[in-house]
Amino acid sequence: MNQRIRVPLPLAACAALALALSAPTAFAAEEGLRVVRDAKTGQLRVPNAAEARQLEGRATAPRGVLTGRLSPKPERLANGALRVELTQDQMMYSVATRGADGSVTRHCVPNTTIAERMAAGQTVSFAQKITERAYEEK
Amino acid sequence: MKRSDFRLRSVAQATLLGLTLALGAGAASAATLVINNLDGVDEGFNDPTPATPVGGNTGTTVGEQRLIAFTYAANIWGANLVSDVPIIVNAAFNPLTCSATSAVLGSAGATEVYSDFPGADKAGTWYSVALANKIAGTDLTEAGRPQINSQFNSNLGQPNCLPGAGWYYGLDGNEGAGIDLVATLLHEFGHGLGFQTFTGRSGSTLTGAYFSGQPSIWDHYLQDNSTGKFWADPAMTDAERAASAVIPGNLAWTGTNAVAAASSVLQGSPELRILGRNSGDAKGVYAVGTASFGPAISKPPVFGQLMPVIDQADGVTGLACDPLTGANLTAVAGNIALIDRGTCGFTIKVKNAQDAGAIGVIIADNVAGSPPPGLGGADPTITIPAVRVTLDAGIAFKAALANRTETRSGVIALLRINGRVLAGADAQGRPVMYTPSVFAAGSSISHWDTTATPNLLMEPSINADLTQSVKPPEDLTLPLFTDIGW
Repeated sequence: MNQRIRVPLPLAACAALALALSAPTAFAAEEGLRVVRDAKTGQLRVPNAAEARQLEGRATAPRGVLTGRLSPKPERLANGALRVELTQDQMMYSVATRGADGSVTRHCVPNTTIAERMAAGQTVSFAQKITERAYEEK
Repeated sequence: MKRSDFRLRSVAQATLLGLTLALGAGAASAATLVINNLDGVDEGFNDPTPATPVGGNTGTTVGEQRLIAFTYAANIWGANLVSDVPIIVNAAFNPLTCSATSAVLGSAGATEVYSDFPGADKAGTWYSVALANKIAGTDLTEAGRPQINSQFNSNLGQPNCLPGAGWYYGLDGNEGAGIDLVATLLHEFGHGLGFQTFTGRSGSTLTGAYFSGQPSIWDHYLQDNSTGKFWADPAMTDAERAASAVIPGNLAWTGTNAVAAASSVLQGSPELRILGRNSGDAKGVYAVGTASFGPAISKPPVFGQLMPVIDQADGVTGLACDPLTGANLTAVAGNIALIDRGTCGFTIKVKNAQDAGAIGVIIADNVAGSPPPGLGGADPTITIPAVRVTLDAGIAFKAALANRTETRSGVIALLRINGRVLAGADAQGRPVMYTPSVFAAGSSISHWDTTATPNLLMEPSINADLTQSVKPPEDLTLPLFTDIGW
């Protein structure tokens, strides 16, 4: 099994946090286990609720498709143009589903989470709405 | 970033085509799409598994066939667009999310958006990077920076990844039980080239807000028919944009090229007319969702007595999931059957009605929502037309059918094409975007409406009857691209 590894994170430094999350292979840990280094004691410990929310937010924030940056921001270029790198969450997804009669339908959805949940056969209220609107076979 | 020999072959093929077209036209060169192979050794485009040439694809390994299909789709777009700046498409085959009954086929999109670049027609407006480069006449990005990002599922068709429905690498559209890679690529590349607004959503949430504070080039051409406002109008609020995205048939594309082409691409609109001496309050014209099976609604119209199937204990519901017998058999023979949605597939219901002698079927939805969606499924033995109407319409029909005999209702259903209303356009003949009453995020707005007939490349459903054309008289995508600056 190819586990995604959660890593020890220095609480005080946001930059270090992002770096650690983007390089998970630097550490070995059990899937889902998150620890932080306490700024005062220097010891690793389980994050409190606020810290856990911070970690989760960074882990799920969209990343640029070119640079992997978290939530890319607009940047002004020398020629006066403004640009923004887009994220994986702004890509369009094709998903195929097999209906009750065995036929396969293909549809395009805009969101990573929806596409993956649909493809995993999970119940997703949003995805169900998409399906019900145009593609169902019964 | 690694570029393989495959990429070099792609560039050569694409460039050759571009030169040929440019010489023929005596004008600016066709666009060149460069496939940038990101796969590692023995995977994806480099998969050495032997493969038999199929449907015009001469590759002899899985990897070669994948690259040929990519190049083929890229060349279709390249031949139809004009740009002096090559369009680099990052491409990879990766294991993506799957189950036994569904799979992520792939994803694609622009890598960046630009505004206020040299030559930009609209100030303070986001353009997809490939389009921005074309308009600027120069590569606005750092050298070698790709304009489109894409990845597709390397496990499709394997056990636990939609088994039995692997990629079809042929170039002829004859996918059979497989999934046509070329059709999928044409659609997703279309998004990457600019068939997309970045306004209106955050993740799966409808917000109506501009992306990073600015409208997209699309928004200058989207008009809300309920308020008359354009999405790029600063006076239009986020809430108004969001509201306009969930009114079916409400959001019109106003670009002159797509509007002018609509009448040559779109056909008349199928509709259901209810009339007759007992039609009462149900009398009128109804929107219908068409079926993916059986004959299309066409000329001449199909009409007959509307008769309900009733096979449930409540005395008003008819599911028709089993062969019709007794009074139901008598009622639908030679007539148009009214059947409720639910429990079994649409094709089963319609086939049972057909076997009972019905000449057409109207499926009444069992959930609220408008417009009525289509009827999915496939059964080549179905020879009668079928459509879906809304839950409210079904209730009205049943009320009108209360005074029927065993074989006659006095309520006539007429299924026909209305040539004065284009299927997939508003009353002014302008093509409309997909804005179902239940918001479907980017599946809304960044696709043509599903009522378009014939099916268009950039509808949310990638239909099996699509041609590989992106322009009139088969398709409206290219005119829209022309509107936004391609």
